[in-house]
Amino acid sequence: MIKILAACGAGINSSHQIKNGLEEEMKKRGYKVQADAVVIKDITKEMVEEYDIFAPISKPKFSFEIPIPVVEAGPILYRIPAMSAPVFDEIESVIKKLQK
Amino acid sequence: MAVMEKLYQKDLIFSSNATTQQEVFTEISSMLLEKGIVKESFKDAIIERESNYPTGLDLSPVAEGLPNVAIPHTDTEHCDAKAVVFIKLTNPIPFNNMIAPDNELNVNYLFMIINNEKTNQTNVLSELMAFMTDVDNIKTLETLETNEDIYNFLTNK
Repeated sequence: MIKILAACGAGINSSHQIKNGLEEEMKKRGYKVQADAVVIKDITKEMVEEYDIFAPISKPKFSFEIPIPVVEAGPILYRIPAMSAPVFDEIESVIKKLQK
Repeated sequence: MAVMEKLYQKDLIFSSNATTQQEVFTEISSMLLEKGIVKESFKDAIIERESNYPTGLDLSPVAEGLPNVAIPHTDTEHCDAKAVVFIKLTNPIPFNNMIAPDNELNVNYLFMIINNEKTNQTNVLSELMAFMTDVDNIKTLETLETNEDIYNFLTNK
C-alpha cells in the first residue's frame, strides 16, 4: 500500500480533489494507493514522514526538508487529460521506484 | 451544473474598473459586507490569502488565446454564506498561478468563492473547473456585455 499526502491551502477542498483523483487513477493503473488530504499550514515534518509521496497543489515553501518524493499535483484540478496525465505518470514512476 | 446555478445571484455579478488586486478586493469586499454575506475580516483575509496561496488559473492549456480567470477564496470563518461572486475585470489584473505560484497571469474574470461550511461536500471547485475548461463557455462570456446577460448565461436562463 502506497500512502500519499495531498495538500492545498484551506477553503475549497482542492486537496480532496487531488486525493480522489490520485486514488481513482492509480487504482485504474493497478496500484494500491491510499491518500489523505490536509491543508498546507497544518503540515509537520513528523506528519510527512508517515507517507510515501507528498502531492501538494504546488511547490510549497517549508522550514524543513521534505524527506519523501514530492509530486506537484495541481494540474489534476483542471480535470482535463492533457493536464492531469503528466502528474499521474510521475506518481506512477515514483511508485515503481518505491518498489512496495 | 444545477449546483452552480443556485450559487450565482443576480446581485452578485459585478464589473470592476480596478487595476490591482488590493483595489478589486477592497471594492468587492465592502459590497459583500453590506449585503451581509461576509464578515469584516473578509477583506484582509482574502488579500492575505491570495498573496500566500494564489488562485490564478491559466486557461491556455484549454485553448490558445483564452482569457485567464482566478478563483479567490479564503477560510470559512470569514464568510457568512455560500455563493459564487462573479467579477468581470475591465482592466486585466495580474494574479499568480495557483499551480505554479511563481508565474504571473493577466486575469479577466474572477469567480470569488464564498463558503461558510467547513464540511461542505458539494464541490464548487470541480463544478467551476468543468465550466471554465469548456472553451465555448469562456468564449460566450467574452461576448456578454451586461451583468444581467452574464447572470442569465451562468445560470442557464
